[in-house]
Amino acid sequence: MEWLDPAREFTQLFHTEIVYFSYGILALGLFQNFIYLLQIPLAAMELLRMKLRRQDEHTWWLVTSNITLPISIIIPAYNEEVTISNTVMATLGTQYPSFEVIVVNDGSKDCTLQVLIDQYQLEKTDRFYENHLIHKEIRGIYTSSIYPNLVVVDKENGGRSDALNTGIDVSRNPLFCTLDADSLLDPSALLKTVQPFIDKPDEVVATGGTVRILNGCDVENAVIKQVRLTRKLLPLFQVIEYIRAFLMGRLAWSRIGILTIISGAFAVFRRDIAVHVGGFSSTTIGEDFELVMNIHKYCRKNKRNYEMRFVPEPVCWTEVPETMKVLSSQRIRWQQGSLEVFFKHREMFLNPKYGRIGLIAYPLIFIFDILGPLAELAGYVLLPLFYLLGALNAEFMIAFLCLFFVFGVFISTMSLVLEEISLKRFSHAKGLLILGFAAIIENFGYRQYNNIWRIIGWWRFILKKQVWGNMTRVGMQAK
Amino acid sequence: MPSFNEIVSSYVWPVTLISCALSLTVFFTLVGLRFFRDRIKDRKLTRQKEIQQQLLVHLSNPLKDLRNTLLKTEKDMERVAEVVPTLLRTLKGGSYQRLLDSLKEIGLYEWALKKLHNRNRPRKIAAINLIAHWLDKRVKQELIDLLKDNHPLVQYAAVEALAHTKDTTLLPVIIRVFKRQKNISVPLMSDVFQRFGNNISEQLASYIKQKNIPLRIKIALLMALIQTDSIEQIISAATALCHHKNDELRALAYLALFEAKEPVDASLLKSGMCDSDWRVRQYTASCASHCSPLPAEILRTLLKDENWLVGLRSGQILLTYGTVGRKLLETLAKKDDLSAARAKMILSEYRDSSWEDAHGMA
Repeated sequence: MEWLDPAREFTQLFHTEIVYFSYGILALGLFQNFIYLLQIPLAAMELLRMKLRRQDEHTWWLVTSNITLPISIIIPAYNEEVTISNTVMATLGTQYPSFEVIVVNDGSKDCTLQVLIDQYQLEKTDRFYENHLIHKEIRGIYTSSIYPNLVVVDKENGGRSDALNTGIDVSRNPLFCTLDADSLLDPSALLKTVQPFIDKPDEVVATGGTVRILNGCDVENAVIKQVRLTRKLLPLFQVIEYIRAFLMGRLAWSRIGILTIISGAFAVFRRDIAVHVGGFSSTTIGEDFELVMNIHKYCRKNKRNYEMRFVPEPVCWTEVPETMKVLSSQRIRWQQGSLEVFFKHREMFLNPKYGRIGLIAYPLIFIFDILGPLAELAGYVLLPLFYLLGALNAEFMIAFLCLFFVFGVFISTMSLVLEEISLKRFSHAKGLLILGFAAIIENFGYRQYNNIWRIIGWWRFILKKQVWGNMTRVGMQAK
Repeated sequence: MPSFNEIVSSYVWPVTLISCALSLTVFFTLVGLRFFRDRIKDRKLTRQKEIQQQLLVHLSNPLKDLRNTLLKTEKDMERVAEVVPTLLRTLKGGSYQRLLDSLKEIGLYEWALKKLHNRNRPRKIAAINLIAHWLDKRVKQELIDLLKDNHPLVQYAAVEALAHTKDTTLLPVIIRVFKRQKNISVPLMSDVFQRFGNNISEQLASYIKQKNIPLRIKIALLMALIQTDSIEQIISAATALCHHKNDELRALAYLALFEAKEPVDASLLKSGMCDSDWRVRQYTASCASHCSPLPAEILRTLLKDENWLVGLRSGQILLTYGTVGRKLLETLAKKDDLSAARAKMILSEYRDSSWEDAHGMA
């Protein structure tokens, strides 16, 4: 193949550099996998600790107690006419002694507001609130004549974080919970997520719960009747991803106090601290990540003893994209958001002033989210090429394939093992088996696609291009 | 020490392949186990249903030979033990006692006593929960011995069972367990204290005032005390905590004073009003609702608090005083400061006194 000759010449000329570059990629892969390995025992230890404290019967005590902290559940809604009614109904059915549901209609172009007005017999009121956070103008506040704890805020469109800030301003309780409009809460999820606030009231500032995938489940009257697996491959891969991210990553980092991400789809925060740090940022896409980082900064600067906890069991069910188009735009947005927040708070990187967040968590974000996708994709493209050109030997290629493919199977399978040992959320062995096979297949194709989307996220970040994705809702009732 | 090159060429692939194979083996073994467990579980559920049915029949129409009817195989005593707690929870008075006697006759009592020393922890805990229905001297002693167990769930189950005795002499032992076992959460501890009922309110209050009690236990004690109806003890314990250095405990103390529904001492209202924690100030405003005459100065100050939620509560409390409070709000609304703006908004929101009605405080 004569046409390869110039490439061969190039390879010979820069042989040392190419070898070092390839070693760099492999070293990064080795380090990433070592961290994953570390996460497994940490997550297992945390799950064991949670098991010691888990006594479902006794959480009911909290329902009747007047000590349980009152909470405001904030649901931002933009063009959610298909799902909003069910989400609100499911949320109103939450087992909690004192809570209000605040739906923020973020200037929807569809009939979201009208659906709510009709379904819950809403009337406009003069609810008292004060503006402490930045958000677009409120057009009206509605309360329900049938559900006294339901408040609907209608405002100008300003995005998710803007809507959440409005909700925080209107809320009147010491805690608030953020919930996506396409999500369903397990009835006892909130009680369990709030428990760390009751256990360590002066330390816990935020908690996050597990988010699981709703696609495929049997839903009746906004209640999950049976947890089933979706038959579609794309959501199935995401089931594995979610289990891996929540049950391993977040749980492990929560164990050693370096939790930096609490999913905004279902999180509980102390209202006063969120207000102190300025609420959710409207200038970044990763507003959840940004708020968590701001809280870390605030607490560290004020030398406050604080904890952010991830509670593995409480479950919030959410719909995930079923098409490549929607999924890619979601993942591109997530990557862009991570990059924005990372660079915005770059002074925390390796800064001892921020303790283990600066010294451990931030470098890990750098390796996994910032360098990771670049290195992995470079590995997929360049290493086989270098091998073909004779710059790398076969052993090196095998090591690369093992690290990036085989070890991926190991990590995914281990997260399923943790799930089965601790939570047993899947009711049948058949479901587990299907997931097991999906955990193997996802490493060959899906994982690489994810990397491409993350690189596009990088590109969008460089171009400073903010694009908001639209999620196509199937509607929970339809399942 | 192997070089990086050596690691790459000699170690990476065997290590990853072996770990992957191991994880897959573990996973598929678990799936297999799950498959068999599901089958066993189905069979177990069917037998449990049969036993439950037979016990219900026995309650309405006593069977002559319950033992032989229920216990057909060796495992059936375990099935009975699994079914009984739920059943007993639904029964009261005569039926409850009749069933307990019948179960003792068929040997469940002795069986459960033996299982208290079982190595399998879940079985041990289930046995504790079951034996708690027969709280005689022997059981009590066994449960006290179990407090020395190393596992928090076993300790908690024993503590919870002992709480059913309502024997107040056990309280120091239980507090010692809680001091030692930090894995037992605040709500669970509070639940145990509540199970003793109203008769321990004086002891709860006395423990709250002691200096050597850890903060988390104090919170649990106060939570339990609030649930009792001994107003005097609630007020005494809460008053002692109103100046505690911990924000949470102070806030809880003011909440307790509010829950006591008795007039609160003016000096406590004044110190609460100036507290650094906004929740203390908010509960202070709530406490003001029980005072007579209306503590106008305190509520007026709290209305313009830096935290608007405190201001809001203060305005809401003013409305509970009916015409007097409403007039005060109307007067304040005419001024030109923060309290005026808030008073206007509160009057506008509660123009039909709905807050007082909804909260039954008018």
